[in-house]
Amino acid sequence: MIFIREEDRVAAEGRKKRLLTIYIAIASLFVIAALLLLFLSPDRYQPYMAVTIVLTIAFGCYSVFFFSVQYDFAKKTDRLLDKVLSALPEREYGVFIKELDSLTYEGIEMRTFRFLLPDGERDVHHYQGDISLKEGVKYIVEIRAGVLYELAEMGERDEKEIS
Amino acid sequence: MKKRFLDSLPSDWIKYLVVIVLSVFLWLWVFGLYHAPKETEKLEVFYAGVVNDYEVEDIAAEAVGVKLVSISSAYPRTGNAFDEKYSLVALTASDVVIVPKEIADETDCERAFEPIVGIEGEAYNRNGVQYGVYLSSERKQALSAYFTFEYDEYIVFAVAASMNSGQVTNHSFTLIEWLVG
Repeated sequence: MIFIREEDRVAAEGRKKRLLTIYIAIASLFVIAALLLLFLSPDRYQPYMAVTIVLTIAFGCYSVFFFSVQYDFAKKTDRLLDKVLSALPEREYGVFIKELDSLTYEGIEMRTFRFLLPDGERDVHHYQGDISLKEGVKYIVEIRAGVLYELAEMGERDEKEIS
Repeated sequence: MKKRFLDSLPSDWIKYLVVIVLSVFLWLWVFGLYHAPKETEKLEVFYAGVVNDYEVEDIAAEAVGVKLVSISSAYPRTGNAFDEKYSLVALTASDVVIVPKEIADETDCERAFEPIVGIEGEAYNRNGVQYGVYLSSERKQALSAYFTFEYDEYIVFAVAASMNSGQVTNHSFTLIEWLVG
């Protein structure tokens, strides 16, 4: 089962661009609204100023959320998928030992599995897709940049081929 | 996304707080600056004496039709650097000056004040030209709620350096008309 495909990377890149476009559109609307409120305000400008302050707080908080959470996540996802798909594949067989607590890798929280590979124990991150692994069972795993790219249960034929 | 947002709050709350505080102060400053009265929309009055009630500023602004009238004052002859304030604040930065006759007599009216034409009231002349108007005793009585008049005679002048004394607007003369009744 392959977990990460080129389409995922393209989708992540598209999502990043779409988010940025929406943000720029909202920012432009905010700037226009704020300038209109300023330039059209009469001498008794307090209500106009109050509306502008509320708009600015809303836009400012959205900006903080956007750059700290929303866009930041999209950017990190895109970067991670880029890194995974361009990394050298490591195809190994290994025994699944246990699932660890979710860990953040490249800024993204992911499930983490511990495998016993021929060169020792190794923690592998799982980006997406539901899987349930059985402890003590041998799997063929393809790891790219520390992330599980492909996984298959190991049959007798595979074992003979590898040995 | 909600979980990620909630997870980010412990480290990012300070950013939200900064945004809120900055938004308030930024727009208070920008709106204040944008609506600040221009030189031709405000009048600076210098009074040589004690101002009892600054509410007269709002009354005068409404009467003259400007956005702002602000009064600065200095008590004459008490060793409080009156002469310096008079020459720096009254004769250069103000639009209208109200001083006792004793002070007016010592002032170089030809250079400091704009000649006044067509305002009713007792004229204060210098070399045959009217530079000021006396405050009548009725007007002093009427204005006594706002000003303390300790001298017998007070004269109102329009400062020559002011752009409201005929250069751009005639607000100084309108205020003088209102003051002398």
